[in-house]
Amino acid sequence: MSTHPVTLDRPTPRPRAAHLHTARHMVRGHLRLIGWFAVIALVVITVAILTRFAFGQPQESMAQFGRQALVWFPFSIAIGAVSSYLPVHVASGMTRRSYTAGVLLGTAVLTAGFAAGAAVVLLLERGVYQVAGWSHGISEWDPLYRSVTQVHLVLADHVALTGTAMVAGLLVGTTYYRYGPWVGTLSLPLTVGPLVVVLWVLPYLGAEHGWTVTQHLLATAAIIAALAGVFAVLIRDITVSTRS
Amino acid sequence: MSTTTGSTTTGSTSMGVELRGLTVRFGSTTALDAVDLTIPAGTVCGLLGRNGSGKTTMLSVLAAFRRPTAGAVLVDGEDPWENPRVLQDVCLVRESGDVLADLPMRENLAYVAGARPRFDADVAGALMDRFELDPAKRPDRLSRGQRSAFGVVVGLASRTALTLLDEVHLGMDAPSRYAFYDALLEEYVAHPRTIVLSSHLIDEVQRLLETVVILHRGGVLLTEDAETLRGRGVSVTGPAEAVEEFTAGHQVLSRQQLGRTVQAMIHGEVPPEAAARAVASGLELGPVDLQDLFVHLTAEGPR
Repeated sequence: MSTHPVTLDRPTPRPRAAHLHTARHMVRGHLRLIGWFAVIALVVITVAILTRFAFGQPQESMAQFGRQALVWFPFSIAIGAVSSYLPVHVASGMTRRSYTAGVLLGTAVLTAGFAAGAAVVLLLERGVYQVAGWSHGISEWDPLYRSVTQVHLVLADHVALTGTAMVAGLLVGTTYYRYGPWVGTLSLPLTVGPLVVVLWVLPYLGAEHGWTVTQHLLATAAIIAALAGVFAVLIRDITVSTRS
Repeated sequence: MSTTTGSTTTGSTSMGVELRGLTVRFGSTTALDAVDLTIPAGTVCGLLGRNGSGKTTMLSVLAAFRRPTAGAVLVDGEDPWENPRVLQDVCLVRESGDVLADLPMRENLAYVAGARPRFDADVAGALMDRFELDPAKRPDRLSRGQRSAFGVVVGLASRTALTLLDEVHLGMDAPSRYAFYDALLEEYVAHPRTIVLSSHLIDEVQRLLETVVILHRGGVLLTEDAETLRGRGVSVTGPAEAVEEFTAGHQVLSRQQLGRTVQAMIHGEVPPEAAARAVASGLELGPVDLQDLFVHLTAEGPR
């Protein structure tokens, strides 16, 4: 009789569901980290609001400035997903194809979660401001939304940003894993560049040329698709590092 | 016990291996050079070789961790590369371990269980007990030996038709290694499969092996069943003078002396009459020690 009973999930049927298997574990495996991120974010936003209040009545959202955190934190998660999940996936008898599909699916789920979380935090903050009688303004120039009541635009904005960040993170992680630190670092302009474009160039072009939200989102989707395509090509024949 | 070579059917519990002209190069270094090799299904095969002989590279190709530069790799009659049917039944366990280092071992086992059709959670639990591993602990907080033991748990509980164990026991202490050997044999007897065991600890693993492949400088030096290999030499034990007289004219692989008693390993066959005379004169004859033979063969290997 085992003194350390190992309670396991019901095995997932293979191989059709291999990508779902890795996607599910990727999401579940990051929940604790994301929980800590959420707690820290709420504390920081609360402290920011109180600090602002000390100097007078707040007129703008503090949570809106968390957009950068919702880019670079998921970006770092995605980088780690390559070195942590690729060897385990292949060593567990699954193909690189299913790894690519699984990680992209996991990325999509996490992106949706981050976007939904951002929308909830912004709406909660707006509720607090309303109770306090403060104005909940959006002062950043580049978001797709001008008020957090435009929930669909809030979601679209964060899906676009976080989605690009995560797929770019996968590409950065893959480049380092496949080619090593020198090529990984030297290729950063190519791997992170598209994220910079989505963050700062597209909003500028959109403002210059009067793009609609749909045009902006289509441009972002094309960039994400291109990043995902390069990621899939690099994974297709990647060697799992032999460290032992 | 099966000694059938070649492919087996889907859902089989043993897979054979065929390598034809397998070559792997890393830049200007040739790790494997036109290797031809057959590993029969349903055997425990020892993959022996000195450092840099190509053992890990060969196992990595079999498990589709890397693509070969040239040649054909067939596992159960098919190329394992991006082949879900074959790969779900091939498990390579390396000493470094391919685990989710920052998640508890329980979650790692759940991950493997979802990927391996024949994973046995009861076996995993029993092996965790045997190696005194706490499933709540994370692999990155284990000692080297404990990480190795966890790799063994994954490798054996997965019950894959082709199980490749690459120096998995190096970090373990002696009691853990012997627990591993016992567990390996028990699992193999209860659920026969093809096991390839790469090791430097030839003295310890030789009792497990049915076939032996010796790699040397990227090529196959020999592949034989273990009994035939042991028949390539003889161990002679007895009084020093009698041993010296018997071994005269033979190639002595090793010699140990304790007081007046000497044990020598000689290379080459001993005619039956000579063996009978030796026994009659009080000498004990036995199979040659694989480690001595290995040292001898790899020291004189080609290239």
